[in-house]
Amino acid sequence: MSAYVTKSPWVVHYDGSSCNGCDIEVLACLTPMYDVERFGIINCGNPKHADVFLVTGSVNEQNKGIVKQIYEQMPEPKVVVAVGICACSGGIFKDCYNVLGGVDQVIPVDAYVPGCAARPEAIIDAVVKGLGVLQAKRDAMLEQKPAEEAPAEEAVEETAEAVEEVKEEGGEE
Amino acid sequence: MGKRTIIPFGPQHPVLPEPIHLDLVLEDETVVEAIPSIGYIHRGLEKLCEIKDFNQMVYVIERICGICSFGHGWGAVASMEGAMGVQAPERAEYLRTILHELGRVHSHLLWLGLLADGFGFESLFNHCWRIRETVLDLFEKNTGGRVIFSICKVGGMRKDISNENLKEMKEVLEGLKAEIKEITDVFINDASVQNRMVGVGVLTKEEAEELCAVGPVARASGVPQDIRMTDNHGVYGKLGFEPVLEEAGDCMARTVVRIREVFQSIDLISAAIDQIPDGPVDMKVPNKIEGEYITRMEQPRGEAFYYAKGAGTKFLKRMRVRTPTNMNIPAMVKTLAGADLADVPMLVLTIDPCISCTER
Amino acid sequence: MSKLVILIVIVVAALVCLAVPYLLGFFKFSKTILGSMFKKPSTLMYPVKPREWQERTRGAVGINADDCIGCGMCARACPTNAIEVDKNGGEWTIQRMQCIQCSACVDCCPKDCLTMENLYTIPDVVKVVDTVEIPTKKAAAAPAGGDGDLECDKETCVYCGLCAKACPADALTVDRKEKTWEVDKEACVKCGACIDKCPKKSLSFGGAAPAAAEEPSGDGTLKCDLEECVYCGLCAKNCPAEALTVDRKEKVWEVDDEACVKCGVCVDKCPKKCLTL
Repeated sequence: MSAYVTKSPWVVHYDGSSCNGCDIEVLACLTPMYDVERFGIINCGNPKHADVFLVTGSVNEQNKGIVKQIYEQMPEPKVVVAVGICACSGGIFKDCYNVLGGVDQVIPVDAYVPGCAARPEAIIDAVVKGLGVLQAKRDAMLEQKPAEEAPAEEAVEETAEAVEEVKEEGGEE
Repeated sequence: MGKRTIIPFGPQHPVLPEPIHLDLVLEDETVVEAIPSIGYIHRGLEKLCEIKDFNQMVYVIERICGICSFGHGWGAVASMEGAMGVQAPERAEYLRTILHELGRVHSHLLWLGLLADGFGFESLFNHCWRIRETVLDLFEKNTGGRVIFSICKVGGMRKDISNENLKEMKEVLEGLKAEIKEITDVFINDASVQNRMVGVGVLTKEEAEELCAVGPVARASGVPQDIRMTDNHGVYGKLGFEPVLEEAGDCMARTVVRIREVFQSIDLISAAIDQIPDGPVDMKVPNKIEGEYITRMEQPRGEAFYYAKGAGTKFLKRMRVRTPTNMNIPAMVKTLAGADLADVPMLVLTIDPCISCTER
Repeated sequence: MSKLVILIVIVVAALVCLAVPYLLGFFKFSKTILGSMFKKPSTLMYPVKPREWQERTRGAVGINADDCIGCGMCARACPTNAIEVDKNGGEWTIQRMQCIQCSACVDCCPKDCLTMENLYTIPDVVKVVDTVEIPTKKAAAAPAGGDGDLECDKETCVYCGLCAKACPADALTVDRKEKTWEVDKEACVKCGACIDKCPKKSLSFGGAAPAAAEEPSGDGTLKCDLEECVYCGLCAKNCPAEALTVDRKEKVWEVDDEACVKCGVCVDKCPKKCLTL
């Protein structure tokens, strides 16, 4: 694990069931006006490369498995940022029959970004806030590691779970 | 040869920010069949009309899609106004038309950027989105929001836009034309872009008509279908509107239609700002909604359809929205069959899919 | 020697590779790329330079707690149920992570104590909930005092319907022809907007005497002494029922007897004292 993970966090983005508003604001962060690549933040498509998981939109019955799967594929330490009101609490769609609520119903969330749609400035603020959490998690992991090999075991278990889920899904299809 | 493979595409995929799942049946590198499966963003927001009153429902419908949010808000408001039998003041109709066309400029520039990203032209993507920020600044100044505006309400507009601001908007947009032209020339004339798009994914006029394609997809195949021309919504009748048509029906034609529509929208906004009358932008409306009404609206992606039925109280009995991407998916599946695997992102992108509209 | 030749060949080849396509106009984007090298960066440098907000930018809901009367209109208008108002406990609570900044609450607030601030809620690691203390005794805020139900003095009421128009909660029903005035006590939020609007000062909250109504000088129709009248239009401006039409140029003064509620406001306002009831 690199000591510089918090200097250049890679993010993976998944659209839960948002209206697109927050997604295009996440993308807008990458474009010249906001340009988060200045801080070494890179949007990557592969969850196994990512440190920060940006989720927009609420979680529903169909995509909760996918959100969980992406989260489990990410290597430790990892941070989840819920972008937008829908990801925080379900927002205006909270009462819809297909919506379970915020992302925290399925996976642990480390930072919440309010806004409908969340402004690019707020997203930058939140990723910076998330990095503090990432650093804390990393320190905790480093302390734990020599004492017991728990994180490694967890990781193995998680990978096994993820593989099983993929298999299950494949079987369903 | 001839061994069939199924490649899953999505729902989490770098090309599209939105989740759509396609099972691509391949024979070597050629797509034989594409089977879409949707439902990853289904929220069921039409059902919310039973617990949110009609004023709150406008905010819900607006959040069907963050790209054409003004159009959705207007469509819902127009259908409710129709059911109530009221007509919004003329200045409000002008302002709605102006903001709707500004939304089209924003949507098409955004899409051009995504398309450039799709064929791997990163710097072109960044230039498109840089120009788009100017349009977003106009939105923020006049409505208060960057992508969700919440300015349309039943009976008119929640806030007036002053004539000075409108004049400034016109100047900014006219100045933007040269910058947009610089970028769009690259799409039309650059050899590497042409290699990716000319002759790829041809949809003939007959196919477009048969598969009920709408919006720029239909117009790129030579089908003169545009709700701004046929239904008299907004003030398009007074602005001398003519739909943009292309004949080729390939990816390039779909791009050229949208590029020409960007300039057309700017012209429409300028014309509307020159004509806009003074007056109120809001009116008192009844507190209950009865009857039913259908509105059609030309969104950036094509024809959208809104149906509202009042329950005799301040709640609606039924709200139904049919969105343009829904109608364009058959055309997309048609063009995917027989295409190269490497062209799949291009073909998916050129119908300008808006999954959150489709699934609501 | 051979190294030099190779170097020259490489340089020439590189120049040809760069120049030929450019001369042919092969890459249309080259001009833009070259141009961008000499332009100022368009990046806003956000965290270093703070963002400039527009006047209308919708960031977060703010409240001026002193003016709040705890009516709960905002909580009812909110499409996401983010606001809770506890009138008796004197608390106004907003769940920041549920507010969608539609400003529906700001529009419906009868006391205009809610505002839309430009700055968004700062992202946090927990779901932020803001609680603001509001005055519990609305006696200070309500103009007519008392804290009972809304009452109307039927003797002075002219059934003009201005109160119903002003009511933010649509709790009042007034029929001018039938001479009825009704209040839906469930819907009434006791904001006092109707009391402010009433031209006859006949509305009050129970438990307090209605503010003394100014005695109208007569009971007939509104008349104007056209010889004295200067057609200033002050009467029309102040008419709560918009029953008066004054045109200075055409020297016209007209009263719509149907609309006139005979409140006498115009009589008080007339600078020439030419109006009589």
